[in-house]
Amino acid sequence: MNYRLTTQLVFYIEYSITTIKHIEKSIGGEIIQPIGVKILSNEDISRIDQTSIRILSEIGISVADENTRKLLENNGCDIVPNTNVVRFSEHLVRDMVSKAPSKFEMKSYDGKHDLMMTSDGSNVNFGNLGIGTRVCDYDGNGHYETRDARLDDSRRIASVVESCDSLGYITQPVSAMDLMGTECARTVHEVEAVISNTSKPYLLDPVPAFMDDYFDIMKACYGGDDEYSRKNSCFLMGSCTSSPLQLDTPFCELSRKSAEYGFPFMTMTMAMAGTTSPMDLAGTLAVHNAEGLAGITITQLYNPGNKCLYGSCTTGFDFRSNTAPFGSPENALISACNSQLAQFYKIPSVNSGGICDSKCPDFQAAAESTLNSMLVALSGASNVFGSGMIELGMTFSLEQAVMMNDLIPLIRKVASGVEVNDDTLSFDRIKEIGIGGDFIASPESMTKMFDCSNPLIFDRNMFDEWKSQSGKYTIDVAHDRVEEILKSSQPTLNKSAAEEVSKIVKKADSKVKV
Amino acid sequence: MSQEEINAKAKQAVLKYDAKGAKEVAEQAIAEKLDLVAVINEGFTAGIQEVGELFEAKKLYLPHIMAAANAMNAGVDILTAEIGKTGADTGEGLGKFLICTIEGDIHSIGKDIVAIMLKVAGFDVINLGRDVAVKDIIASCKAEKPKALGTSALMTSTMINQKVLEEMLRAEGIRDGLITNVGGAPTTQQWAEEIGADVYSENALDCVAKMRAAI
Repeated sequence: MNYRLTTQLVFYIEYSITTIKHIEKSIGGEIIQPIGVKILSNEDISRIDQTSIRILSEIGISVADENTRKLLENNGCDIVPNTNVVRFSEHLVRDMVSKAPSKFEMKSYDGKHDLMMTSDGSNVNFGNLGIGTRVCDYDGNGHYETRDARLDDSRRIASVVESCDSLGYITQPVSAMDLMGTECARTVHEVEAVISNTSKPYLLDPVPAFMDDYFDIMKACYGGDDEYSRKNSCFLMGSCTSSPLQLDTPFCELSRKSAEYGFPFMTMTMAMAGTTSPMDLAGTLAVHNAEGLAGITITQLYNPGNKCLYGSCTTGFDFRSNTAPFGSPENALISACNSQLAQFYKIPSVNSGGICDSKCPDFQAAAESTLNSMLVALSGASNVFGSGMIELGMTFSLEQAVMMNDLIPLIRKVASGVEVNDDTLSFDRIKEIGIGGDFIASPESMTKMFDCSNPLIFDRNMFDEWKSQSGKYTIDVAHDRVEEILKSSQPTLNKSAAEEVSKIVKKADSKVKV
Repeated sequence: MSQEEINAKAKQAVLKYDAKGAKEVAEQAIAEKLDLVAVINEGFTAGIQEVGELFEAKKLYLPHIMAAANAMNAGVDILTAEIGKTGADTGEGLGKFLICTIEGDIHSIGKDIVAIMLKVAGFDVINLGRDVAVKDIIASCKAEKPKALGTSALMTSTMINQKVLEEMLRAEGIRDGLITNVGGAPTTQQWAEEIGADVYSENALDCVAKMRAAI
């Protein structure tokens, strides 16, 4: 393997051209980062790309949906007789991938949390990861309890995400296990729970049968304006590939319906190195990339120019525990490499980072989350996807989300690097203060102290000061913050829109017969 | 070559993860008109059981047991086809276990690992595959009359079909006497209880332990 970890003052515009850019603000208030970490060399990327194209054209992808297979066949792909296997034409893949927007604005329904999705590594958003089935409750007295998630958890988590300034968007965090098996449109209820409590851009857990309902809900959030809704989606759709090399029918249907409604669509791979993809990470990247390119090609065929996201929850596999851990360095490496691949194709990315394998927000959780969120952010992922999720992506912790919200500005600070110029080298000030003096009252200290990192939850006091102020450990401070948010949170959706959404949910329920 | 030597060779083929060697042993046993049921039970099965013990002791891992199972299947498939011609009885071990990924879900690797581990444990596993329609599972239950039925769901959108299956098994009057097992990432003990499944398995080893106990 050829891993070259080089930290450079670079900013990827063209992948092979590096340009230094100054720190500036973009829409969404995210800091453009001047530090980039490259795991892969340009040659590595080219070889992975070529291998993925060989996989697509020589081995092919099994596409379960007949209409999508026909669409691909009509556009120059070959169908292996008597199978669902499509052998993609390289020309088509290149052409379609080039049509996907290299950046776009992701709207929030009240305009307060608009985000930029960029593909050049310039703008890194953080969000929570979905979709778990459990929640880890902390009682504030050192005890944790993990239980099945309920619909109400989507409300609570959305309220917390709304209050976490560093979390730019929300992913459907958990499934309402209490609605599982009941005669209702579960995912539509989940959408209502989330959008009632946060206006942030929202990555859903969509089911093809309710795509019309999701759109109607988004339209209701926008006051019923159909045309505006189609052009300014605040919902993101996505679906997972089934590694190795398979796209199921829901994937194809969700892609088609997303194109119809103008929803940005994320192709999310979930390969596990050593089981559903090769043990070697390079081979895993080639499989992941082939699946991602196939998904993007299909979305672009359904609607050329449709907003797309290149997504990855691909990770390694631990044969000692027989699980696919997300807190591992393998996951951090894969996600960081995928940031680079997405930059190569000029498509905004979503890469897992900030997620951990611990069962509660403890040291393991902190170490793993920091390891992978830091590397993935420095690799220039458009979206670092993981905050709040523990237990290999199955359990959500509100305290973990709040602590990640504190960690993210620290990561951004690292990403901002060190500015070196005549002014910042401060020779004149050093000369003026002289030997044995201090810089405390210098004009620079007075003003630039506000640029320093300033965590809200992490405590930097010495022991006596800490003890006299609160004497609380970080988890308890985080718990207090969660309680405070939940007590003070207000619905983000206005009353008339909420009533309209409620009607849509009832209508969706009426379609369900278990 | 004597029966004992062939049995030992079959066992060694499994222990060495040698599918080609396993096929050759099977073909040799047929050519020499040996006791094919003994080659399965005292050769291939003995080999996979030893690998299974090493797996449970964490001395071998999933890649090894899957490779051993591939070798075992390469030999056993040839022998069972031959035995089928003669009508000999290979025995049922712990009994028939029908397994599949539920309707709408094409994920299969986890289910396949469970199937292998159940086979190693001594179940007569019938793997129906993935995305198997509930009506087809019902039909297979009627035809095969298994002791146990296991379904896997990897998506919250497909696990609902495990509930549909439970209801249909009852409606068809074939639920009694059948042990049902649910598994897959989003499933939980609570889900199993809610839909009326007998056993929830978190992973392959958990499934084997619980199903052994249930049988």
